[in-house]
Amino acid sequence: METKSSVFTASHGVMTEEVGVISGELELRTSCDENGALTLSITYVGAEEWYTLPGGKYILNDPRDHEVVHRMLASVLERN
Amino acid sequence: MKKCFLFAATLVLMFSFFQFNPNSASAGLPPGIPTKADAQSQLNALTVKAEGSMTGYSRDKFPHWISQGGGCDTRQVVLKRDADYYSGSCPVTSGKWYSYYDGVTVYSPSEIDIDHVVPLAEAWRSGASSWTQTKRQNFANDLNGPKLIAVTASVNRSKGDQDPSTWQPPRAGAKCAYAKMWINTKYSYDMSLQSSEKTALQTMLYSCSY
Repeated sequence: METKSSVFTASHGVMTEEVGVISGELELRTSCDENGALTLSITYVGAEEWYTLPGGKYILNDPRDHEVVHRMLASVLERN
Repeated sequence: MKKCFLFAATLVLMFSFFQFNPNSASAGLPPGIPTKADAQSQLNALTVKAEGSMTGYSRDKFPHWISQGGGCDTRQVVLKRDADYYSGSCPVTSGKWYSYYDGVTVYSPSEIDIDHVVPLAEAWRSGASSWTQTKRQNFANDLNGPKLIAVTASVNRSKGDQDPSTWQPPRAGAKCAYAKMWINTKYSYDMSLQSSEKTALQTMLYSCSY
């Protein structure tokens, strides 16, 4: 299991399963297991609970793609 | 004669099935919305400040939908209060709700969220991080004034934690009352606001006719 983390600002927010749109300084965490299964979670920087990004099960054909998928997501979610 | 009696009995049954809310003339609005002048002086009194951090935040620190007696929790009380009519009591099983933010009418409580006008996360970064747990619980369940409102789950999700500088009700006619509700809630709990939020609220308030 490999976990990557990025901190970014989303002043207009990111949709979550549990609480709808969240905004401000956010931390995105993506985890990828050896079979390529991705888990996406997001929180406010420093907060004590995590939320799920909408969407189904994501499986990478090659777990080495985790890095680029993580960076793409973090860039797309950051909107000022 | 017998037919008349049956008809009357049917009417009585119909009326006892649905409970009509005497406040439904307010069309989905909670009580206690201030006048334009009062909202303006409350806005002027708020402290402008950069938002605090989200360190330590969780929804558990705002215990919400607590018991309000009679087997009802805060959500159920607001569901009843903001309904045009409803049937069932804690849980409310059906009814009619006009969602003020988006102008949508729904008939199932599962499509209705109770919105914290000032969201819990927004409250946290506007001062609630330093409140006692008791004060946060009072805030999250406060039935006095326009702090909670029944709206569609979809519009509540799109609002999320945002303040009026990034999110306003999609129905143009709702912006005035929304600004007043927001200002009144922050004023009641002495929460701060950031300058972009104040600018947005002032613009919305100017659009009010009273």
